[in-house]
Amino acid sequence: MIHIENLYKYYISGKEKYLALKDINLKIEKGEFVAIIGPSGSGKSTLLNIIGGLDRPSSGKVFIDGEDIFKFDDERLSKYRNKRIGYIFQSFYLEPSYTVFENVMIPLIFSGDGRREEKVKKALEKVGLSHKLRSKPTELSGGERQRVAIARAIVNDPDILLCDEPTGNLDSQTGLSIMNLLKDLNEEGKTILLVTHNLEYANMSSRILKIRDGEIKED
Amino acid sequence: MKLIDFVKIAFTNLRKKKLRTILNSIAIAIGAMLIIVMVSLGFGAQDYIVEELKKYDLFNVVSVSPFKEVKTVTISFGTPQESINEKEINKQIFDKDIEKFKEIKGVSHVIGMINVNPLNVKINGKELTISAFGYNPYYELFPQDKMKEVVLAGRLLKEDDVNGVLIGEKILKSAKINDYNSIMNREIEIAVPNFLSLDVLLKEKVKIVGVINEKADYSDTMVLPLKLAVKLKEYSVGEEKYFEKYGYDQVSVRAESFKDVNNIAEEIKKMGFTVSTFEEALNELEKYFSIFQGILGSIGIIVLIVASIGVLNTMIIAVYEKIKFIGILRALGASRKDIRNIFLVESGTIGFIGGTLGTIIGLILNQLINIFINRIILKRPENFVKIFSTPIEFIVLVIVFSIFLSCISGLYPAIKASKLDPVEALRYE
Repeated sequence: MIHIENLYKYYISGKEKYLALKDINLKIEKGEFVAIIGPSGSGKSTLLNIIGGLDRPSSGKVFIDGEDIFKFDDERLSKYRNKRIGYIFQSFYLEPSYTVFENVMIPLIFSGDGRREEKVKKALEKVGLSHKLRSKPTELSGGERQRVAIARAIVNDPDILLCDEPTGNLDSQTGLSIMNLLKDLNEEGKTILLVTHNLEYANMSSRILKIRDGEIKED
Repeated sequence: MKLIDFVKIAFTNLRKKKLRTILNSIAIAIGAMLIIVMVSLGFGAQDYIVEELKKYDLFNVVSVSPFKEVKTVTISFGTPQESINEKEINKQIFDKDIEKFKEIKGVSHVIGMINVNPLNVKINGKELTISAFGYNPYYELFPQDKMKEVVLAGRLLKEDDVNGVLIGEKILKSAKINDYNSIMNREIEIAVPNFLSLDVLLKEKVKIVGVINEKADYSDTMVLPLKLAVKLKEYSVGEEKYFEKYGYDQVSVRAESFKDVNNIAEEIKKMGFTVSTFEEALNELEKYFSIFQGILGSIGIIVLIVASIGVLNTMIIAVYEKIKFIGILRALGASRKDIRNIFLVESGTIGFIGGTLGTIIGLILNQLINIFINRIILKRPENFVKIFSTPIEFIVLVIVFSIFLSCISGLYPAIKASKLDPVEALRYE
């Protein structure tokens, strides 16, 4: 389902060219749970952002179900992110002035779908937070916030979840519960890419990619 | 993405920054208020003056002429000017036409005239040059409802008057005659110059039978029986059978109300005659008023523009504050266009709040000033005069304009926001 061919990504800062990803070739099938590990700055997040259509590769191609997503215009690429990708970040990125309900609803605004309330409630139910609908994120614990973020990621029922160190800001017990939630979602058929530093969590996945200096060293 | 979502997001964002939103809106509101008040003064003054003018008979009159249209309209108050030699005949007007004019809906009074100009008159030992006209006393000189105030002394002309004339009060005043009854039936001499030489005069003896109030029409002319007028005219222009050839020089068709004037003018035009009304002069007047309103309104517009620079400033700050949020929205599926529109609607919303607020304050202010003017200055509560008047379309226009200006201010920050790199935006702290 995800097929990456000869992917390069470099950044130019001043006169120096910094290579973030180097000749990545990768195939991920539907329903896989892939953990990506590697030291900081090895290019894990960049890879995730490129698959998510948020960042652009310097060269190479990313096919999703056979379609080169970087041939899409901004409108279509945004639609792709909206409908097929669910993003989960380390620091949750919830909007503090919005309620839980409003935060989860944001992707539905961009898809222009109806039956919003129903979908938001269903997503919150899945993460076990249907009773916190009217709360503000600041009133929630870290684990709860990450659950809200997960509800937001799945509200549009995407088939790919991109998780960038989702447990990084959580204690180990809360982290584990988040991991279990992701595992459940994987069993429901979602393809999951997880960037993590935690080997214990990585071992819960079905496949581990080790990245170092922008290259896949071990699969 | 639907507009309602944009508006909701805008309101949520603006509520978060209450003070800033209020200050910005107040600036816009002051501009909008100034436009409303200033231009309302323009509209009100225009309405007031036009309404006052319409009270004069002048605006109820359709002037029919047998000559082709002359481009320049000379406004003459009861003193028909003429220069027949330069005019080309279009269609003569006779009594049968006057009967037709009378039947047009909304016509209250019609009179046909033969103009005699200039006319020398010797009265009270003074020689004056005046203008005069003749009409057939079969028609009424004035509309029925005006009759009473018109004649200060004596009577109007009768059909059997041969040399009886009416004289305007203004002429008597310039001849220093105060006792009007004393000149009743007095015989005076009038004379017209020949068309070839001003020194060769045709003299006639006439008898004053009535005096026309200076407040009425024709108060600066002499009114003659038609036959006498035709005789004088023929001598002065040097043509025989003048009336048979040209018909009346001028026919005044008076409308019951100002509203009928255009219809009547159209009807008569259809019959093939040349018509002119003061409506045209009024249109000219309205042109000046638009300039006046434009000048008044531009004060408000300048304030609005200054206020929208404030909006620009606010929106630039708002974009900086929301860089991370923009990144999140992009990750969640917002397109560049969505981001741009979010900020555009947000700035437009400031314009809407300010514009609406300013309009409401402006309207209240207008009403207060109106009440003040009527109670304190004019002191006639039974006849409320709106010196500040605001058409509903104008209110809508001001609000739309406030929104538009704010959107223009928001455009640059909005485009900037939409062009942010989502990955960098997410990393922004």
